[in-house]
Amino acid sequence: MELKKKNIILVGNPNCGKSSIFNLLTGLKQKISNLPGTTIEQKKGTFKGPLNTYEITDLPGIYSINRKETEEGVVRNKLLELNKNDANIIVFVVDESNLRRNLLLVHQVVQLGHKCCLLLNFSDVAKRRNNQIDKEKLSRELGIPVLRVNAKKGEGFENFESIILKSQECKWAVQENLSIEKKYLQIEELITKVRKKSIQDSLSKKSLTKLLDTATTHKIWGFVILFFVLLVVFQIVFTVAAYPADWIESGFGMLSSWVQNSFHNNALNSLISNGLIPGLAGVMVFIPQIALLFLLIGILEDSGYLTRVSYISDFPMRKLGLTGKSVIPLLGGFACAIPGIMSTRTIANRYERLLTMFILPLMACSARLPVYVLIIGLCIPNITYFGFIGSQSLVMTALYMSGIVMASMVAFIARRFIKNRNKSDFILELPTYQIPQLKNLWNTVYFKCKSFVLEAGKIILIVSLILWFLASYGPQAKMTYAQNQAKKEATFLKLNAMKTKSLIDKYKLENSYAGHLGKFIEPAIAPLGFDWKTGIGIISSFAAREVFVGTMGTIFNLEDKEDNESLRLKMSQSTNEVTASGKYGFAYGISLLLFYAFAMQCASTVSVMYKESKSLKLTMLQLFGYSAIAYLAALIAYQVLA
Amino acid sequence: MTYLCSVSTAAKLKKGELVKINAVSPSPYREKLLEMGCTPGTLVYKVHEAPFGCPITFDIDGYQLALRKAEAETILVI
Repeated sequence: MELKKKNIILVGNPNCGKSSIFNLLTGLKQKISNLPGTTIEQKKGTFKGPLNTYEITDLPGIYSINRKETEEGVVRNKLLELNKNDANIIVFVVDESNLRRNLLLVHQVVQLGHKCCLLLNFSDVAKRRNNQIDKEKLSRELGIPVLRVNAKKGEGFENFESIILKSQECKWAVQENLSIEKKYLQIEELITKVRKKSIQDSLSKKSLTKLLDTATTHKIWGFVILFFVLLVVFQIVFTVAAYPADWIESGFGMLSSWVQNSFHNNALNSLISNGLIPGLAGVMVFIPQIALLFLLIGILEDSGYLTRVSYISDFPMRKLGLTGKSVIPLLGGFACAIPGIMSTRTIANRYERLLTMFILPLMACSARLPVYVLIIGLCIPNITYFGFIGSQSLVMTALYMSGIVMASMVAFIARRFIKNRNKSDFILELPTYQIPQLKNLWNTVYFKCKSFVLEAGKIILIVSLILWFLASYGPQAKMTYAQNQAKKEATFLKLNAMKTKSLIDKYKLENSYAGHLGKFIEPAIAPLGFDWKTGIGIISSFAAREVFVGTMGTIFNLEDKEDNESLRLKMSQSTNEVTASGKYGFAYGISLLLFYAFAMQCASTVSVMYKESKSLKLTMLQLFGYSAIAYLAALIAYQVLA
Repeated sequence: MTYLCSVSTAAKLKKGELVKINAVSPSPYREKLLEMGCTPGTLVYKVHEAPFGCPITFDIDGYQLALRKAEAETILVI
């Protein structure tokens, strides 16, 4: 019988360097999956030692396994389900500079009776603080193999496999269930035994972290620094990402026209060049932006700065019924609401967690950006005030602010109606500042982008294909009639072949299924200043907001769907052609922008919201509530401005 | 370094003041505070406080832990 592959399970506190060790051992061969029945992630990968190949699982970092409702309980269940045999080995990752607290988790987990071994990380820090320990002694006392590693430098892993093979059950395992205080007494006793020097110098008063903290947590400078950090992050995301996004757009545009011109002009060609390729482009074009945003947020998070942001904003956030821990998910919401909603798991209090999730889709996610760019470019005249403030960037900033203001209002109102029954807490470790590791950042960005392409990409692609069908086909009789009508008109106006074709397409679109759908909802959206074409765009946006740009492209019958510049031109031309009153003018623009700022138009977010909140009521309230707010805001804006 | 003699709470500490935890009074946070290492006998000092005076950061046995005022008030120190 073939031997089953051995499983290695990494267990440790947050900030102990567990993820770095996992990345070092597995490289890029990782799979991220959800723990059964939850949305809590576990990472799996393979480690090839000189003798065997192992499967490694990285569980979320936790301090204890005592609480049921949070990640801790999920990790506990996962550990309880494991078979207690040689095939499963628990590897503890322990921060040597903070041995006492780190060993508490070890003490709790060994009670479950698995074979285990221990990795000592951050020994350099411990050495600097003069509280290094004797690892041989520790190994003897615990009865398990101990290896000293340096995850930052990737050193000390030569003997990793040998300690895995020597794994034992810990001596602590045989004891009956002790209270936390008793466990700590035992741990302290152990530490005194194994510590090399008797003098404890852990209370060093000066460190780089404390120095940086005097600035980042300062009464005034703390918020000033936060403001500038965010400004720089968004500036980089908007400006730098535009270049590769342009290359991707034009690349796909060329591919699409190449396909259209070099093969037989039939339905398949149209499906590929007008449906599939623009659909793919719609997915790919977001990658630079998402990658950059995740990279920058990753740098802020890994360096330890984001924890300080939580820390200084806890007090103001509490006024809104939230917590400082809401800040990181909300910031993530500027990239994409989905990972944002998933990262609310760190909030233990259910009310605060649900409220954070509830307001999160109001943060202007990156999918709104292409819509904003298109509409602002089309409808907002570019005026410069005081020589440097442009009206267009002013509107963009206002849109981001309006999302934040609306979120605060919703949170404030929710607090009036629903009481937070559970005690909320803010017991948070402020980790030492660190220089983020490239490998970890790369892994984060790579996997986030990959899951975006696979998850969001699927939806965008399917919607593009459906849209292509709806816009290309219609009731047979009406389509033929429209085609003949267009031909007649073209002959009458003596149009050339190109213009005739585009006129035919326009008539066909108006009579296609999509056209009928748009016309059907036109009465409902007419008060907002939207016509049936915008209506189709909005309907398709309920799958994902960014689809709007692609849809408008199809509707304005372009070869290159995602090319904003020419679409903008087309839309503004149609303004002059169709009505003299400025169909896609300022009022239309503001109305549409406000609609996109507030409306809950993302199928993936709705499904993730339901999965995470497990409340259909809340999910529906979010979907219909925000859509109603969006409708009202757009209605008021249009009626006032028009 | 000298310890304060009177019984006080961690919330009342001044910046840089070093004390020893005496007990953690019963509250919904108690278990979590103990788990995070706030056990009787542990040395603790206040590192800094956030704007508006809450939360407060303490150095607990070599690492930094942020607590709200209400939480810090349950930690009795001597």
